[in-house]
Amino acid sequence: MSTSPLSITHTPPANRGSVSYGEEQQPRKGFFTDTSLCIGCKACEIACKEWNHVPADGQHFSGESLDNTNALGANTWRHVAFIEQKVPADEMDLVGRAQLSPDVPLEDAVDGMRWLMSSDVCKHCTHAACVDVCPTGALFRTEFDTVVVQQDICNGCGYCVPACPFGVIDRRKEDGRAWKCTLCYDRIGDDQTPACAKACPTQSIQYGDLDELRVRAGERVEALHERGVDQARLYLHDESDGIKGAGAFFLLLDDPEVYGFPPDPVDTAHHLGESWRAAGMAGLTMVGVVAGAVAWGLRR
Amino acid sequence: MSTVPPHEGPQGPDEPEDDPIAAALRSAGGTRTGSDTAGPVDATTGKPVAPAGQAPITGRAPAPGIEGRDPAMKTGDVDADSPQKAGGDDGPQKAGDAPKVSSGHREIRTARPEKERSHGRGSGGGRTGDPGRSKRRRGGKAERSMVPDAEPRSYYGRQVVKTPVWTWEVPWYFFTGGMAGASALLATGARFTGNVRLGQSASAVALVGTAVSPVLLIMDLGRPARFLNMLRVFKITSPMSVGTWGLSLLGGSAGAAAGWQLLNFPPAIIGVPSQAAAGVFGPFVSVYTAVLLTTTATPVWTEARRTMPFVFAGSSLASAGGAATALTPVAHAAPARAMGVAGGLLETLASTVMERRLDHRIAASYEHPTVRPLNLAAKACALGGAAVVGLAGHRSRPAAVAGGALLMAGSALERWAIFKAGKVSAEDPIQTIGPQRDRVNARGTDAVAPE
Ligand code: SF4
Repeated sequence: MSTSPLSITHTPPANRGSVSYGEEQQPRKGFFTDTSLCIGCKACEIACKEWNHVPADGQHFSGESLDNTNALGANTWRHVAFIEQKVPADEMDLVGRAQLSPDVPLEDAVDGMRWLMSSDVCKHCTHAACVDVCPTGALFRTEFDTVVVQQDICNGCGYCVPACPFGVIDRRKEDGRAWKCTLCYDRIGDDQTPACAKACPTQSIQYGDLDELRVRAGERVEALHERGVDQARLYLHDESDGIKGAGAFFLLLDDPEVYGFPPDPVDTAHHLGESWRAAGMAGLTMVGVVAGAVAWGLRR
Repeated sequence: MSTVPPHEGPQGPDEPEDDPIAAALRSAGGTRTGSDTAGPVDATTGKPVAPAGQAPITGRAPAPGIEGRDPAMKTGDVDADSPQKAGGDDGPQKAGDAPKVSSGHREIRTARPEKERSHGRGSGGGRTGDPGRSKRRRGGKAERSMVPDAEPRSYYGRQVVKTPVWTWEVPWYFFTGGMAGASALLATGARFTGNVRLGQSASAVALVGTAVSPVLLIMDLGRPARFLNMLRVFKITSPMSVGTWGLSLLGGSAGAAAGWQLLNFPPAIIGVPSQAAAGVFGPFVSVYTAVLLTTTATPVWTEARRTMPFVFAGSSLASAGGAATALTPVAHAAPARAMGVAGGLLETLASTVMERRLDHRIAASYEHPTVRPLNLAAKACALGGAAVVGLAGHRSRPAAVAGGALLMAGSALERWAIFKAGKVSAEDPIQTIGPQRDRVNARGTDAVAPE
């Protein structure tokens, strides 16, 4: 995967999601999705469906944009988002792909449009809510530090569905189990690139060692800033965020919520202590109430 | 600015008359055009908006169909800087259509960090020398003012987190499990203080509740035949795993205890420790379900993580107290009545506090038409049941039965209200994005900023 001699520092094991693989542990793999390169061709969606035998999820017409896939789900593991934005005239040159709307008369051509396109995927969080809440252990962390559902274990309890802060994983109706991106566990185990990254014609989706991708992403942001695209920013690359960074992170040209991402995701386990403390107090309250009630009954 | 001729009228010169969305925006923002010289002020929030240089959002109509969809986008709760609702006194559900249009189609300028935005203002002002362009810009400004500056944006108003897939079995399980847990506690307390009759009815309720609960839980699974996979691991990070083990332990202990209390089999040597254990696992099963809900990304659940356990505690006490009150002769039921009354009051109080403490955008879930009736009915039943049991329960058995039933109904309705609120909350992108955006802004350091 390596294209240039980069200085790679492997993430110390303590910061990693999984430390239990010992000898088998591989370098953490991930996706860097550079949305400034995405042309919205949806090759990734198709490649993912074909390789992973993901069933069709119906033909919807959103009527909003070229995005008729709508959202990630049990049967959609890659989703290309389309956002149309007005661009003021004086910004036109700052935006690589900004274009004039064809129906604007030339002398009136002050404002233009730009399209933001972004291929969304499971983030393979460092602190993954779905793994934490899964009561069967079906969701697990692989030796590549990716997050995968073991379909022979999943009993369809559905807890991971509302737990994921990104709305990625979902239960397949006709099947009853939870499904999501596996980061092509079968392919990467064989040193193959995941289907979506392989199919992407613009290298908007880049696969590789996460440490290396992070370096590459930092350089890309700098290059874009130098070219005046100062809205370029990275999303989920930072190990100090609410999910301690993601295996699949993004370069965005606008705020995350514009693409349908949560701006400040936090994994569920983050608040577990607080929740259990409150529950403990509530349980003690129950004991107190019943003790009081019984005592009151005795006195009478 | 004074060199600029006044706006030509409610419509900008370059806005097509037949554009319904532009017309809607104009009619709402028409009064703004007169006060241009006073500087641009957002009509709804009173805050300054970007002056000339801002593109009108209505210059080009968004694709047809944008306005019609997206019931979840609300304007009343979109201004992150101001807790006041943009629509004045309108409830969050009722505000106008304008920002709906803007959700996916805002001009790029507002998309940028504050520093760049102010830069944009400066450069925009510099263009007022060109009268034609300024006039056009000023037209845009009037409409621009309809959109509060800090409106959280979303992707076509689509939800960010997934709607919980759980169905009716889950809120009913919360009810049966909670009632069983609190009943086990009551059975322990009553029997160990010599109130055999009350101990028997409470342990019967605990037995039935712990028998029904796993059935409901298994029915809700996507693959019911694999329910035993729940017990192949114990995961401290998963409230469902912890809870399943707790429920199993309660089921075993409450079952043995009920046998001892009702049939004298198993004998006391097993029955007494079982009853004691049921008294420990009982409260756990009653409240862990709150942790189950708050350990999700559903805003209305997770943001209530400090209060919801108390709602579930009160609700469990109310249902168990109500059931035991109804099933026990009046003379023996005094502790059950006290428990039911206290539970009904705690449930109502805690749920009120819970809703009040939520961010106003999130609390709106409880005002949703599918939730509000349940929520009000829950409180009415809980308070009504507490009143009937408290005032008449010691005199008449029918009153005790009616009051007990009301308390149980209130408890079940409360679980349903919370459950349904979660679905509403997950489907509203503003509830997910709004508070998170506030958090990022408050930190000052954009979590996703480069470097
Ligand atoms: S994005 Fe969601 S499904 Fe993917 S690893 Fe994180 S929590 Fe799990």
